[in-house]
Amino acid sequence: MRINIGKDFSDTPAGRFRSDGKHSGEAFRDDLLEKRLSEVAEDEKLYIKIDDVEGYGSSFLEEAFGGLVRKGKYSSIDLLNKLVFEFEDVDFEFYKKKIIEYIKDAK
Amino acid sequence: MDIFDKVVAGVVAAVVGAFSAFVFGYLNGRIANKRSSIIKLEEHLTDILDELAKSTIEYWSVEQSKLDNPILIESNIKFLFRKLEPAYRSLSYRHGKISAGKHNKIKNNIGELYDIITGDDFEGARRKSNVRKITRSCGKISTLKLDIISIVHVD
Repeated sequence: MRINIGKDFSDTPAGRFRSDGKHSGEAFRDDLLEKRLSEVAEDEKLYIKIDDVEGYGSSFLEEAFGGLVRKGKYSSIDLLNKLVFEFEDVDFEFYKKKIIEYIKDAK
Repeated sequence: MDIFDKVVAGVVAAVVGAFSAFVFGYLNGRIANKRSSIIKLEEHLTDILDELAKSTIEYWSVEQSKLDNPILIESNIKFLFRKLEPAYRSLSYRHGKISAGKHNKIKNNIGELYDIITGDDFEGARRKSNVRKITRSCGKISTLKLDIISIVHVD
């Protein structure tokens, strides 16, 4: 199972809440990420391609990924075990590390 | 030593001398090239940080509704962050002798700077101005610039 954020959601993801715009972290989490995660079999992973976008703000990433843990949908460990982040553009290594940090730090 | 031996010895000495000069020149050139690329990366990094400080002040000094074109500044901030960490990674690779302590300090500061500037209600429709974000981020930017300058010119 795969998600390409730039193609399946938006190449200009922005903002934390739906009230900030239709491409917010909350919209990504609730409308796409959580739905795809529920379709992933126990022994499978969800591959997320993160580099077909212009860039991310921490508000978007924290709400999208950390928010899943904060809302009690997954534990940090379970979520990290389920997700694999992919990118071809090495500039996006930074965002992968930040997403993992937000998932680990979410309470 | 007959005349033939003298000629051979002279030729060998000339060849060795020329080769030594070539190697010396080549190594000198490589050192100068490396130094020049490190300086260019340092300039690139400090330009990104200066631009980031300018955009941060412009963005966080007023609330969202008072900005003529917030998307332009937000995109610029995101673009600068997309370039900042890879630029530092290139400098670190090219330099090759940055201590682990300083390397981790710089990487942590870049991560914290990203959280301060693009966190909370960044890109929020009802974002308020936040002077504390300006002072904290400008402090971090100054620290980063000093660390980068010290790596290139002192360490």
